[in-house]
Amino acid sequence: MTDTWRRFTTHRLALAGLAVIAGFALLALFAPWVAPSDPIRQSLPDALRGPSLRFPLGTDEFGRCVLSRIIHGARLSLLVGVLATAIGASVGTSLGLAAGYFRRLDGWVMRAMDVLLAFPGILLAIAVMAALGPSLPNVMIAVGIRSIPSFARLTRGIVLSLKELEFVQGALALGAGHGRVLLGHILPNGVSPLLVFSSMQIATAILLAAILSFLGLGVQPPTPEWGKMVSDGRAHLLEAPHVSLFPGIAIFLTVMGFNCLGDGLRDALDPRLRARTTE
Amino acid sequence: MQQFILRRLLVTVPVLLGVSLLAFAIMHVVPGDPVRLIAGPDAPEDVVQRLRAELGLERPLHVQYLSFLTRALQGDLGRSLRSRAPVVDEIVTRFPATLELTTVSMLIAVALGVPLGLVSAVRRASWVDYTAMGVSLSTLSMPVFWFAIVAIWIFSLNLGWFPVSGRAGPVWEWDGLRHIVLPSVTLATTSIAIISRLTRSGMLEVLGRDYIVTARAKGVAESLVVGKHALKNALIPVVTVVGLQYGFLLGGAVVTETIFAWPGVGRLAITSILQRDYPVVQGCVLLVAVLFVLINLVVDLLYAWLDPRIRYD
Repeated sequence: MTDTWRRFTTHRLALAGLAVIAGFALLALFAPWVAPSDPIRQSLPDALRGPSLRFPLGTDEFGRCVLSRIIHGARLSLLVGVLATAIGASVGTSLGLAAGYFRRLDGWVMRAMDVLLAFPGILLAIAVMAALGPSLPNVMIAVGIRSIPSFARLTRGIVLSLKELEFVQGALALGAGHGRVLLGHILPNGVSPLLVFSSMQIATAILLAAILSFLGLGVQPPTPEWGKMVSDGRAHLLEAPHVSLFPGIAIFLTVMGFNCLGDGLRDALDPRLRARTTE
Repeated sequence: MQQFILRRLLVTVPVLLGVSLLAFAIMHVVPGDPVRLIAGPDAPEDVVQRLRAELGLERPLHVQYLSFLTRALQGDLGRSLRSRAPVVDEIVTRFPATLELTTVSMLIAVALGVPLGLVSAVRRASWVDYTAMGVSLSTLSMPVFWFAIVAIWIFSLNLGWFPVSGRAGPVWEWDGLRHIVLPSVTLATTSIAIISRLTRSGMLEVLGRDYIVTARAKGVAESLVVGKHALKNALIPVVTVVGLQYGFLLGGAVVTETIFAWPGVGRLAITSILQRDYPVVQGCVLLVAVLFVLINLVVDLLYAWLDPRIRYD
């Protein structure tokens, strides 16, 4: 554990990623106190102003403070990223555990996962949104469903590699039930790769949720959402590029943060992998 | 090899059936009455009933699915609720635009991604390597729609080099070429990052092998060692990814096509979703998924042909 911690704390990229995520998480948590203005209140005389002391990142077409909307938007993006990944991870991991452990289920579960994988991620999420209709919980479901097959495949691989090992066979010989073996012995030993994968999946989930909002299928106005903000600014690119530019930078930094954190976690938790990828 | 092809084909059949089931399900998981949603809340009852009968929605679900599947196999995906044109015609007229955009993007991605990964591997831990890998990690974290907007802002609105949107004739004509530059580069960015990272790691692995050491010891020129001995083997996994990315882009060009008003299948899918034109949505989803599965199949077969070890796995 101490070795893992040391490897993680000396990984500069991972620390930078963690710092960015922590920064956005703090902003999201204290948004009502940190944001300089109300993110929803319109003030048409102030529309499309450039960055100034009063509006540090300028205003949008309705005169709303872009910085305040980015700060409040962080709540939504982080929430969707984490919860959508949690949906994908819990369903995918359960299916992967079942498929890897019980041979009879394997074929059925994995063929179903193949069907989900047959759809490009964006299209699958869009199709789900088309069926369910635009709303925040539906965005989480649509984005979460996309990651279920990847989690299932990863978990199944972990179970297959662990279930023949002595400690699992030993637990079974001592009379432990299947549930206990799966959750108490196999799952804890597969947490590392799942954790690394989850971190990267949060990044993908944030991107995908932003795409859905950008296309008009995600969270509906006037809720501040980064993807929607970029989309709204398109009409005023020439006179007020900041309206699209800054929310895009916020998405980029957060996603980059989770990707770097994932890289760092992978290197810290599995040094052999690091040796392979950096050699 | 024949056995491998047969086995692989057999696995594809249930996946395609599942894909058709999921495409069919789109219209049936809509909360509430889909006919009411399509017809609008104020539509008179007789219009609603006529539409319900036209869509065959009064029949049992399994009968509807079987009819959907039989008709789809015969190339009949129903009619668009908006234009009344056959869905297949709607898709067929737009597919060449998507194919053109995707193909040009993939060519750009391979032409830039492979040399970038190659140089990074050969000059490992140099500033070239760090810059190339830093840029590729950044590209993977960048929302594609934002990249497109920044590109439009710089190259179309400020410099005036390329048009903001639209498609104008084939790519080999000057105007057509000018129109495709921004969308194809936007679409290629993620693939460039993935291909360059994969080429780099593949090259690094191969460059450490014994036969490369032997080639160098024999006095083979470094350019030959890298370009012939190493690259050929490092590119095998790259071929797979190029194939998969190609399939992915055919269906994943939704965002790029929407931003650049590119008249392809992705834009058709989004427009139909926003207009609740469910038969067209089903058609697009079905087409893209089937293409994706078939391209996966071709890539697997190609991989087995390139690397005989796979066949015996």
